[in-house]
Amino acid sequence: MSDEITQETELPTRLVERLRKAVDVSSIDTAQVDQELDVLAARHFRRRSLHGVARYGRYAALAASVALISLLAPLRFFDQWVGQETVDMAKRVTSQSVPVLYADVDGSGQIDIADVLALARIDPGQFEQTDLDAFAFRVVSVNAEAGVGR
Amino acid sequence: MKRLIVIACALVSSLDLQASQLETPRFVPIEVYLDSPLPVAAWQFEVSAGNGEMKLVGIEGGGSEHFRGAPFYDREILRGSQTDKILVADYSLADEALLPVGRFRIATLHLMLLGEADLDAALMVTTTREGEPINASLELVQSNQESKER
Repeated sequence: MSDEITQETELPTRLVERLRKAVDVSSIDTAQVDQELDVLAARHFRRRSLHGVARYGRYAALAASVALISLLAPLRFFDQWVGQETVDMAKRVTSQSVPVLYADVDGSGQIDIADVLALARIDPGQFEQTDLDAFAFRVVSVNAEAGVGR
Repeated sequence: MKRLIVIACALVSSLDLQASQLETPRFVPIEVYLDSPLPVAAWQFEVSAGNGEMKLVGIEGGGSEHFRGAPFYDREILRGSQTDKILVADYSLADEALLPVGRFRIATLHLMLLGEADLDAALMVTTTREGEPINASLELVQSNQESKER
């Protein structure tokens, strides 16, 4: 009985040879595979670390941009606000009737009635007569606040 | 002795009379003249009182057509009590051919003076329509009695 089994489990030599050729066991080189795996692993993890740096770099750039915007935006807003405020101030007289148009327009080094004349001549109609009058009253004001009326 | 007392009383009453005359307010109209070789588009002057006290009671415009209206001055000093100085100014946007030239009245100041107020005037600004300074002179004339040229 056992002899029969032995005979059945033994493969024919030709079959064994054909199987060896099909699997190509001879191409497997453990040392080479290890080396290649090592190289691939190193390359993979290097790329991964580079990706990390790039990712953190992007985060840093984003944070810097946000910081820059948060710094510049208020300045821009302040600039716009100041500009608008200056225009508003130049266009109106405050509720206390204090003239706000007051500047050395002709560059003479002092603020006087010649500046009012220069301002009135720059662009007739740009400033209202009340603003020019307020400027003139400020010029002749003995105290800090000029009286209004003519 | 009786004669001495009478003389002393007369002397005291004389001194009192002089003091009361000094303390009595005097209302004086002061005409202000400008003498300019070129047509005047803007002017500004200052009047100050030394020694005594001065109060502005009223102010009138000049004789020239384009400076006939009341000039610019600080209305607060008109409403207030005494003042050390008065600033007066005006300008005109009229064509150069219509602007006054030569000697002309620019304003009349109605002042209340106390004590021996010594009026002093200073011409601060005189310009042409283009804003060029003019070498002009200022003259104060008090009730055809005396004049002060500056």
